[in-house]
Order: sequence, then C-alpha cells, then structure tokens
Amino acid sequence: MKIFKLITFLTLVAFGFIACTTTENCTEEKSVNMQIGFYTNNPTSTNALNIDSIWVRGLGVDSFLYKKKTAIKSILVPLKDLDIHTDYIVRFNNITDTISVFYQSNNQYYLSLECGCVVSHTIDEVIFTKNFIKSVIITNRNINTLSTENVQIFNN
Amino acid sequence: MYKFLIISILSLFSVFSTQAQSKQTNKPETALKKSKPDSVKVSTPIFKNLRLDIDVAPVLKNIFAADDTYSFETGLQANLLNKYYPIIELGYGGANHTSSTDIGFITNGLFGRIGLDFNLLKQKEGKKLSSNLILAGLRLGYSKFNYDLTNIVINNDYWNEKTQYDILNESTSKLWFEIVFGVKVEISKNIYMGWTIRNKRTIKEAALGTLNPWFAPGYGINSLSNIGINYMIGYKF
Repeated sequence: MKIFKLITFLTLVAFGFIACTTTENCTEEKSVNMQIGFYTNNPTSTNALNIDSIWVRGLGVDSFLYKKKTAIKSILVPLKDLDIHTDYIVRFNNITDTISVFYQSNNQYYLSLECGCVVSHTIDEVIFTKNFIKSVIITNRNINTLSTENVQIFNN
Repeated sequence: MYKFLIISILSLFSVFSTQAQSKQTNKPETALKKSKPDSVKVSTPIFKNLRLDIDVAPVLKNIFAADDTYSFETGLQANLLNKYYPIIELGYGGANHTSSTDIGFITNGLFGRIGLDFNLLKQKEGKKLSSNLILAGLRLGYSKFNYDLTNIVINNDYWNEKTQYDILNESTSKLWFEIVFGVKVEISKNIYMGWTIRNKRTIKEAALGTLNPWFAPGYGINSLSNIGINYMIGYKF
C-alpha cells in the first residue's frame, strides 16, 4: 500500500514538471566596445592618467559618445560592424586628436537564441594624430563582449 | 564523462550476464541437494519478456502546457531475471520557436537512446512475484539533425548600422547521458502504465561564440542539463 502512495505522489510530481515552462531572458553581455586607457610615462613607471575633460565622437556622426566627461581614465567606443576601419575625434581638454582604428575582420559571434549575435573584431593597427597623444600600444587585439583594455594611449 | 558512462553501461551488462551464468550453474546444485533423486532440474531463463512502451506525455503536454516543441518516442525494454532491464528508445522531435528577440528557430529529427534500468522493487520470498516495477538507470542519447535560424538582426545604434541574416540547414549532432527514475504499474493483464523522470546532461558543450541549436531532438531545450518526463503506456509480450 505504501508503494502505491509513493507512486501517486511521484506521479503528481511528474505532472508538475510537465506543466513547467521555461522563461526567456537575455542575461549575457551584448555590448562590444573597444576599451582605451590613458597613461603617462614617468622615467620609472607607467601611471594611469586622469583626463580633466574629454569629448569623443565618431567621424561623420554628430552625436557624442562622451561629452565633457570629467576625471576619466578610460573610454569605451563602438567600432563599425560593416567596415574595417573606424575614425574617432577625441578632444582632451582643449587639444583635439583623430584616432583611426583598422581591424582585420568582423566576425559574427553567436550568444544564444535569446540574445542573438554580436560582431567581434580583431585590431590590426591604430593610427593617430600627435597633438595630445604621443604614443599608442595595442594591449589586446580581440574586441568582444569581454570588458578588457584593448589600447593604451600615452601623452608623453 | 563519456568514457565513464560507456564503461559503466558495459560493466552493468557484464554484471548481469555473470550473475545469470552463476545462477544457471549454481541453481541445479542447490536443486539437487533439496530434490528427490528422480526430480527434474529447473533452470531460470535469463530472458523473461519484452515490453513495448509508447510515450503519451506529448498528448498530455499539449493539453496542459502547449508550447512550440514536440517529441514522440517509443521504447523496447527487455526483462532479464526480473532485475535488469536493457532498453532501446527511438523517437522524433522538433521545435518551431521564435525568441523574444524575434529570431526564429526550426528543427526536427530522429533520436535514439540505449541504456539499462534496474528494478528497485525487492521481491519477497515465498510471495507472488510483483509485476510492478520501480526502475532506476542510465541512458546514452544521440541525435543528428539540421536546423534553421532566421531573422538574426545585429544593430549598431551609434553607427546606425543594421545587419539581418539567416542561417539555413545548419547540420549538427548532440550526445548526452541521462539518469532515469521511473515507475511502471501493470494496470491490466500485460498492459502497463508508468512514467519516467530524467536528468539529462550534455557530454560535450559547444564552444563559446559558435552556433548552438536552441533545441535538440530527444534532449529538449539545449542547456547544459535538462529535465525530461515521459508518461508511458506499454504492452508486455
């Protein structure tokens, strides 16, 4: 008799599972940005540079990615998905530079059915005007959903 | 994990075959001691019967919780020594699903599983053998299928870029194992009803960033692990 009580109970549990439905939400990071950090070189060490105020926008676009942002040590900028190079106008305090980023590929990176795809890039080269910027180092060529620093900009 | 599972299943098969042999060889000796000199030796056959099960859970699912996936399956299970129950399950499953981001996913395909169940119901000596079963076991499942992903849209708001594309007839396969628990009750002569609950586990995960189907026939929604339910009606031959 005990066994049939157990069977009845477990059958009800089984029906409970049948009635269960899954919920769909995208919980993964979807933004793909190039992270640029600002640094200053001392004779003995490299230190993060705090920019007093910065303006950043894409060349050919009116809207700003950063507009008079103060006390900033790094920026995140999106690359074009349908091109293999992207230009940015960056104003550091009162000095303006142009940064051109060249990349090899625009790979479709599948996340899930809920999140869809994003486009990842591999940096080839960074070209810049030398007004505020003195040198650039590419630290991580892969630009994807992982938030890691890709480029270091030095002002001395 | 995959190797471990295969070794486990093979070990289980070897255990019941060894036990079966030992029973065959030992039983006559015991029988000989107890029986009269002219009595006939009785040996227990290893193979007892076959049961064909059909899963009616999809019908119940459509009544209680209709969704955009479907799966139909049948199983053929042998009874060896009333203890060991090797099983082959075959089925057909599919999905026609649209995500919250309007990406369409369509698939269908065949799947198969092999495995072994053990009857946990202890038979009391001197009492009539119960035909009801409480089963626990393992399965190894495989499915090879094609799927379509449609209306994949990539928006780049800042640069005002929009890409839309489809991936059609993408071929893939899935290998998984299951830990199974179930109950079978003989409701009428040779007719059984029962259910199984399964914890399904993916053996090899897709690499990050690569295409991965939302649903796999026989496995269900394609996450690292999944729960499956079957409600079976069976006939014992």
